[in-house]
Order: sequence, then structure tokens, then C-alpha cells
Amino acid sequence: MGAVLISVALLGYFAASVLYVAGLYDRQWEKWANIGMLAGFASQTAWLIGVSWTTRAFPALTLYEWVAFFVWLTVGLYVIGWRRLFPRHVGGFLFPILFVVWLLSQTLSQRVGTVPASLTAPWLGVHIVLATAGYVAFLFSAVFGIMYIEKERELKEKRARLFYYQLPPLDLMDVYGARLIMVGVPLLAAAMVMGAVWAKTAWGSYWSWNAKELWSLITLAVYLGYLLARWFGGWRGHRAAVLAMSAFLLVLVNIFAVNLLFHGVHDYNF
Amino acid sequence: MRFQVVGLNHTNSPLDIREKVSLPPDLLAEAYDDAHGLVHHQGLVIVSTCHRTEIYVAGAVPLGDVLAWWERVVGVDRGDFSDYLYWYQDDQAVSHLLRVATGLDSMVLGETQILGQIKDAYQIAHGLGKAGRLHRIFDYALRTGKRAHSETGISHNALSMGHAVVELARNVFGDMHNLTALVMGTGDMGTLVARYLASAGLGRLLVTNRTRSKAVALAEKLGGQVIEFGSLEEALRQSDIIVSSTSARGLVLSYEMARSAWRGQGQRLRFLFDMAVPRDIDPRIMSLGAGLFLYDVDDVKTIVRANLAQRQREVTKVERIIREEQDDLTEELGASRVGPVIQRLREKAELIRQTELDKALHRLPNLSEAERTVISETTRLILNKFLNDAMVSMRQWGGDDAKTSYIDAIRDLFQLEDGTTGEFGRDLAVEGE
Repeated sequence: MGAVLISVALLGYFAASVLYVAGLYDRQWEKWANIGMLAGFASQTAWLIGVSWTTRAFPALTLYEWVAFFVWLTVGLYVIGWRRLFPRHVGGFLFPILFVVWLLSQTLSQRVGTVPASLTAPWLGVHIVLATAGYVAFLFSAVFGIMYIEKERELKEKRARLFYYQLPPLDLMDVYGARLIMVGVPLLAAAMVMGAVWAKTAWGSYWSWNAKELWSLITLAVYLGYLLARWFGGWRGHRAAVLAMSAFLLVLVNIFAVNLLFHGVHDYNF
Repeated sequence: MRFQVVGLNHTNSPLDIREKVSLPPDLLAEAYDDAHGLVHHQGLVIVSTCHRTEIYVAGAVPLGDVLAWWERVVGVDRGDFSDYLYWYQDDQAVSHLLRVATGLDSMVLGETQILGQIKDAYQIAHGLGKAGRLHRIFDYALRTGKRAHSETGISHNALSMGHAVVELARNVFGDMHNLTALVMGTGDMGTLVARYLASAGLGRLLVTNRTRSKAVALAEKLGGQVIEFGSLEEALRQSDIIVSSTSARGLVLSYEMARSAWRGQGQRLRFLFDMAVPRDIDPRIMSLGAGLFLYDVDDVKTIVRANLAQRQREVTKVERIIREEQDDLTEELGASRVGPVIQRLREKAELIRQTELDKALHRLPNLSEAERTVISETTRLILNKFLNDAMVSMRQWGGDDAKTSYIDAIRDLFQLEDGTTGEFGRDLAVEGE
């Protein structure tokens, strides 16, 4: 059953990726893309509920589950914000990324999670949700960064092609990207502060310098730097977009490299 | 219903001919009035703009009669303009109207004005009680036009320099309400661009010129504010959009000047339009920030050309919408022919069922309420199942001219001919040639 749900979800998101991109060329595909997206989302929701039911735990305890949860939360935000919060054609950039990230995660160990005895507090779920929500905000800001760069390229080259016609104004993408980082930074910071307080009770110290903590701190510092550069250094537009895109690479490294390569108290997560 | 259009437009007729045979608003009432003489006509709409004059006629009116009426109304001999006319009938005429409504047939591809003109033309005809049976067809034309504008990009993207500049600015800034634009010089192109920007809801417009009086005149006209040429630097600092079109031989905005004016403003987005020949703005200023965009006259022209190509790419999508709407219209006209027959057949069957059911129940007085319901329900189901295939087939005949006679056969077979309904059905029928 789980395999069927995963397949349907992957298929739905794959269809959404292809069709949202096609929607850049011809709007008629957008409604089919939405159907694919919703089918994938429904199927993935069912799968996550199923996992949670089987393990009696928050469905994001192994990396394999967590990537699915991250994708799910992103799509959920997209569903909520679609047409109201986000401009048109975000899907054409977002879904290919989501699909590839999730497809990659299928190569991970598919063991379902067990909760270490020391970490059974409800804090676990809150800690994970806060951090994940922060990452989702960062992913969206990176997507706006990509859109900005693509449209800017055509404007600079003075050759109006696809993106000139289809994407929203540069300023709007710039502002959206910044707002999402403004949301993401407090979320990630809250997740870390909460983690630290909880680590004190669970592990005996606030901070243990493990790879995960360190990398998250670096990520947070870079995003904070983005905001400071924007507010005080006048960094906008191109530079801000490039920074938003490269900063998300840090998040990806955190998700895949740090979780898989370094081991320690924080690595139940693979 | 027979439907035809005869007319001429910008592609096949010179302006002096179009002028002579056009039917301007003051002639319309008289023209519609005179149309009484058109035998068999069941509706008439005159669409007359500066690019086209077209007569849409419902009913089997001979072309010669329409032309005779036309030459009488405008007072021009038909020999003078008949060479330029096109004449389409039925499906082709519908398709022509839908093409016109979507702007595919316009001089400026995809322009939206024509849709309003068609709407007005129809409303005038309707107001005078002359539109008759063209009602549904024009409904479809208006809907198709709206769909084309909203579902495709046929009417998007500027095809004039002035519009293109506004569009470029919008592509960078989005909303224009908080923006400040600086217009340097009062050259033709600069003035034109300034006018478009001002009407696009710009926040603040600054105008400067070496000859102050010209700047004052332009600022007054556009609701702008005059800036002394000497205090240009401060104006440059405040502006998001800069348009330059001076007649100066050398540069007006130098690298050094821009650098000192924009110092400390980081990566702020700015759009500069150099509309002057020779150019006013030093292209080297582009190295001052990634947020700068500098377009000269040729660049804007390139965008206009790309926009036209973009609209041309949308044509196939519009044609798809036209086909969809035309199919719907054909089906609807067909349905209006079979609809009454289907209804009569149902009514007759239902009447028989009720009569026989009443008789049967009368003979079985001891049945319970539940049993009566079962019997009643069964007769209804038998009837429905029996009629269902016939109904489906008949609906399909609706759109098929070759099967018109089948509908008459059904009428004869079940003796449905009883006055008004049958006549009504036949009246709306799409009669062949």
C-alpha cells in the first residue's frame, strides 16, 4: 500500500513538473498540472498519515521520511498560497526541484523511524516542524531567486523570450524572495533555540558542536547575513537573488551531506 | 438559418473606398430603417469602423439585394466597390465574425478595440429591433473575443514604442504608483514616452530641459514638476525611470555624474531609456550596478518586434478557441432544432404512461402505497430506458445537416406535429442552401 501511494505521489509530482513547465508556453496545461499536483499531494498525505500510524510517531524521523515531509510541507504551502500568495508560474520552477529532491531520497534507506528513548517528548515534532518550515521558506526564496535571474537575463540581453513574457516583474520576485527569508530566519532560529533548550534536558548540554548543529548555525548565519546586507548594504535584485540561490545549496548540503556523512547524537536521522 | 456576411476591410481595399461605403453612426438609423426592403431577412447587424465595414445578415437574402440596399444607403454605385468585397456564408461567415472579434483580422494583430466596436454595433442593431436572430451568433462572438483576450496572449505585449517603454518598466518594477520618472529633454520620442508613462499611473514625473520654457510646457501638460538643469544630480538620485531625448551633440548623463548621483544607493533597480540620437547616456554607467537597465531606441524597437512575433505565436491558440466556440454554436443551433422534438416525444410518452398507469391502479384498489410506488416507478423506468437511445441519437443529429430529414421522420412517425412547437423547431432549423 505504501509503495502504491508513493508511486502515485511521485507520478503526480512528475506530471505537475512537466505540465507546469509546459504551462509557461501555453496556459491550457496549467489546469492539468494542478490536477497532477493535487493528486500527488493527496497521495503523499495519505502515505505520511500511514507512516505515522504504523510508527506511532511523527512521520519525519528518518531522512527518508523527512524529505517526504519536507516536500509535503512545501506542496502544502504552494496549495494554500497558490494564486493568492504566489505569482503565476512559480510551479514551473518549484516542482522540478521538488521532484528531483524527492526522487533522490528514494535511494535512501527506507527503514521507518523509531524514536530514541531520550527523545520521546512532543518537542521532537515541534522542533522538526519549525526547522522544516524554515527550509521550505528558504526553498521558495531560492525559487524566486532563479526566476529573478532568468527574467533579468532576458532584460539585460534585450531579447524578450519566454521569461520576459511569462514571469512577474523583477521587483516583485525580489521582494517575495526577501520576505520568505524574513519568515525563514526566525523559524530556523526558533527551531535551534528550542533544540538547544531541549538538548540541555535530554543530553545534558545546550550545544554539543556536532556537525548538524554547526552546519545549521552556518546556514542561519548566511541567511541572517542576507537580511543585514539587504537592510544596511542596499543588496537587492541580482545580488540578493544569487545569494538566495546559493544559500539554499547550504540547506541541501545540510539535508543530504551532513546527515549522511557525519555521525553523532544528531544522526538518528538517516 | 442562413447566415452571411459581406464587407470590406483594410487588407483588400484602399482608404478612399472604405470611406465612401462606410456607415457612420449618423447613417445607421436610416440604413437599418431602409433594410425593411430586404426580403427574407431575419436579422441584420452593421459593423462599421475605420478599418472595416461589414454587413451581417440572417436569412436567405440574395447578395444582390444586400448590395442594392448598401449602394442606396451610401449613395455609391456598387460597381465602385464590389471588386473589394468579400462574401462568406454560414460556417465561414461565423468563423469570419469570430476572427474579427478576437482581433485576428485587425490591422494591429490582437487589438481589443474591435471587440467593443462589435458589441456597440450589435447593441445599436438590437436597440433598433433589427438584430433578430443574430442574437446568439453575436453572443458567441463577444464571448470568443473575451476568451481570446483572457486565455491567450494575443492582446498582450505592446506594439508601439510608447507602450513598449511602459511595459518594460512594468516588467522591472511592477506597480508604477510609487515610482519617480525623470524626463530629460523634450525631443519627440522623449515626449511621447513621457506621455505614456504619465498615463500609466506614475507616482511622480520630473521634467528638465536646457530651455526651461519647453520643460514647463511639457510638465504642465503631463502634470509633472520642472527641475532646473543645474540640480539634475538630486533628480537623478530620486528617479527610478530616466528618459532622455535631448538634441545635445555630446553626452548628457556621463559615467562620473551617475556615479556621484547614485553613490550609496546600492543595488537599486533603475531603468534608463535613451531615446536620443546621438545618444545622451554613457553606456559605461551599466557597470555602476546590477540593478541598472539601459535601453536605446533600437533596443525598444527590438522588443516591439519580439512582441509582434509573440502575438503571432498566440494565433494558433486563438484559432483553437474559435474552433471550440464555433463547434459549440453549431451544436447549439442544432440542439435548438431537435430540442422541441425531443421534448414533444417525452411529453407524449409521459402522457400515455400516466393515462395507462391511472387505469391500471384503478383496477387494483387494494395495493399498498409501497406497491403503487413500485409499479409507477417501473413504468417510468421502462419508458426512460426505451427512449434513452433515441434521445442520445437525436441530440447527435442536431449538429449534422445531413440528418435534418431524420428529425422530420421522427415527427411523422410519432405524429408529433401539433402546432406551435413543431413550427418553432423548424423555424430555428439551420436550413441548407
